[in-house]
Amino acid sequence: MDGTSPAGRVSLSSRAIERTLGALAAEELGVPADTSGVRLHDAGGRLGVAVTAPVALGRGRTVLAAAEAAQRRVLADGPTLTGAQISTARIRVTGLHDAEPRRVR
Amino acid sequence: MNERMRSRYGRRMRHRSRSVAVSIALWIAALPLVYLAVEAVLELVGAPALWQAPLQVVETVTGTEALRFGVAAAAVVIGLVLLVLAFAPGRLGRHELADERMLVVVDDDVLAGALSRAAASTAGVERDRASTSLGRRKADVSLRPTSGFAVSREDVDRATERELERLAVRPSVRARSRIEQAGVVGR
Repeated sequence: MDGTSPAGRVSLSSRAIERTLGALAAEELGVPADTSGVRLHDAGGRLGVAVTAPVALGRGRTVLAAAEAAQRRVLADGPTLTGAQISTARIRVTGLHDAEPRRVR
Repeated sequence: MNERMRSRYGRRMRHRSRSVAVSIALWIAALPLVYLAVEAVLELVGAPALWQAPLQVVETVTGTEALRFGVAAAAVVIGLVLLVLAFAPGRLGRHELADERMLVVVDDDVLAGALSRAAASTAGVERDRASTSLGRRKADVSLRPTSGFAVSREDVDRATERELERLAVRPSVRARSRIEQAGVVGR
């Protein structure tokens, strides 16, 4: 239309952003990506992120340290991956994830 | 169509017609005159007054306090209304677009929609996140960004200015945009 940008519009669905950030947090917590849940909200024009996920057992660090690592990861890599400015990331650990496969009895 | 005709017709379509006000004013002026004429003729031929003799009417009005003030107040109100109708520009919220062959007059709603669309598409947001209020000389565009994706005000300003330039709106309009603080989480 104006010749400076191609016709059409590119938009990123919030679902895609949610899954990306959820996967980041899950990776840091040592759990599968599909165990994490993410909610996005507005924080003064920037993005507020709230992640709920379990944490993997036995990695030689406390649950709190793992959660903080996940928070830092979302804040650091989230913007580079999604292009969104993220102002806050809340991580809520909802349980313990047992990574060992269960023995069949 | 020459330039003079064009600007005359454009003016006509952008302003309210005064014909209704004029015809009401003429009726208000004509009725008392007709009444006076009828009563004068009746008086001349010696017939009884149809309603009341004009002098008697004047006496009744000036004699009664309430009636006197009522009539005076009504006259003031009607006078003021007519003055406003006569001198107010009576603009209709429309603008002209430049066109070589035709006179194009659009409602301001349409123009505001065009500006909103230009702003929204520049910012990469849904069309309903931009709104524009348009006056005769200026347009205020406000835009709600997607959370996390900052919108440059300069870009939006440039896009709306370009749109106005493209349409060559008359009277010319200056657009000013505002990016709202709070965003909306995209869908």
